[in-house]
Order: sequence, then structure tokens, then C-alpha cells
Amino acid sequence: MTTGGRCGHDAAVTDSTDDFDRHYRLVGHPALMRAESRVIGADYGATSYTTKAQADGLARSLDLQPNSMLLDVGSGAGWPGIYLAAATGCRVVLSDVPLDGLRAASNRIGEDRISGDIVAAEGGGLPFHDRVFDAVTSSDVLC
Amino acid sequence: MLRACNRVLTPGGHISFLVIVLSGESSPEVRAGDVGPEFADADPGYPALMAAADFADIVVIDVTADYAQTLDDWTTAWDTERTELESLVGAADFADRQTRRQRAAQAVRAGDLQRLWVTARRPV
Repeated sequence: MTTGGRCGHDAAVTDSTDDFDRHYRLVGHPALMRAESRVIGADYGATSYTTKAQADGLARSLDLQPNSMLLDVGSGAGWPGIYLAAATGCRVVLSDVPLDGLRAASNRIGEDRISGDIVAAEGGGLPFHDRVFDAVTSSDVLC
Repeated sequence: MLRACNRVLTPGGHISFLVIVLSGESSPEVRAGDVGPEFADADPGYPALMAAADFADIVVIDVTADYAQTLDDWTTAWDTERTELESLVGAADFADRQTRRQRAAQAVRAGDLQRLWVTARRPV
């Protein structure tokens, strides 16, 4: 995982943590959310290309259950991690570098009343104990 | 990073992720990050890479066609919301974003970029 940027995210949005933060500060603007809903079928302030259909596929491939613990690496504002938690009832931990993205994610966790936490960390140095997650996902981050 | 993911997974736990990689003889603009994701790298060969990180049941699916469609959909959706989004991010930023999306879509269709869906499991 890169330090200042994230591998595969929307080329129109971002090249650096500052770019990501600028994008995440706009999360919630109605026009931005409408556009995102048309494209991916959700409104989380996404910067990846993961569609709702693909997110549902992630839930299946991860075998997420209500008692599962999911880690979303490079979570941004919470897409698709928060959606996966809402859809399956699992608990999610969101990990990323841009703080404004994590703030947006934290707000969404509260609004959606899902079970989740946020952690500021890079993917290569995940600050977690061994063997604590049942599933790990990321969208356009690993490279 | 894959080893870190393996470490935090419970035995039998699943990993499933999407990643954009350079494919074939990508153009210099794509390799430099001027078109498409700045930090995309050549496909490292995920089956072998995942196996080296002690994963099993590795499956890699090419979802590049969906990626191209999503890029087009972003361009269309932003055009639909043009007035409000130009006001939000500025006309120059709006135009720049749209141009970059279109150039990325062209690069995908030229075979310069791929999007892969990788799933695997930590052995029990």
C-alpha cells in the first residue's frame, strides 16, 4: 500500500491523501450522492469502482454472517465496508489513511446504526492482533 | 500487505478484494500514472503472490469490462449533475475530472488497464 495515495481509486478524484480528503469533505452533497447512486447503486462517497452488485458478491465470497468480524482495508468513507455490515449484520472495522474519509465513515456508522469502528492505519502495518478477523476486503487499494 | 492480511485473518477466514493493474505493454502515460490510477502497477501474478502469502483456494476473475462501464457511467452521471457539481468543485476541476475519466476509459478499452477480483482463504 502506498503512503500518500491509494492504488486504483477514481482517477478523476485522487492522486494523494490531500485529494482524497478534499473529496471526502464533499461527502453528503446531494448532487454528488445522486451521481454515485446512479453509478454504483449506493451513496457512501465512494472512490472505488465497486458497484452494489459487486459488493453483494463480496458479501457472498467472504461468507459474511451476523457474527462475522470484517476488516475493510483502505475503506475511505465506508464503501463498501459499511454497506456490507448493514447488509449482513456483521461487525466491521474500517482502516485507512485520509482522516476526512474516516470522519465521514464514522458519521455514516452512526447514522446507519451498524456495528463498526474506524482505525487510522496503512495497509502494510495493520495494527491488529493475529487471527482476529473472519474476513478481509478492499476495493482498488492493494497493488 | 497480503501477508499482513493473512496474519489478521482467523484460520479458514476469507479475503476478497478488487485491484486495478497495468496490463500488457501499457502506454507511457498509463505507466506514469497520467492516465488512470497513479499507483497502479503491473499485474504481479496474483495466484502466485497469494500462494506466497500462505493463502489457499485462490480465484482471480477479470472484471475489466465492468470497470470500463463504471468509468463511462461516472462520466454520464456527472454530466447529468453538471450544474450543481460545477458549482461544488469548480468548472476547471469538473472538466479535469471528466477528461481524466474519459482518458482512463480509453486506456481500459485499449487494454492498458485491468481490474481483477481476487478471492482466497487462509488455510485452517
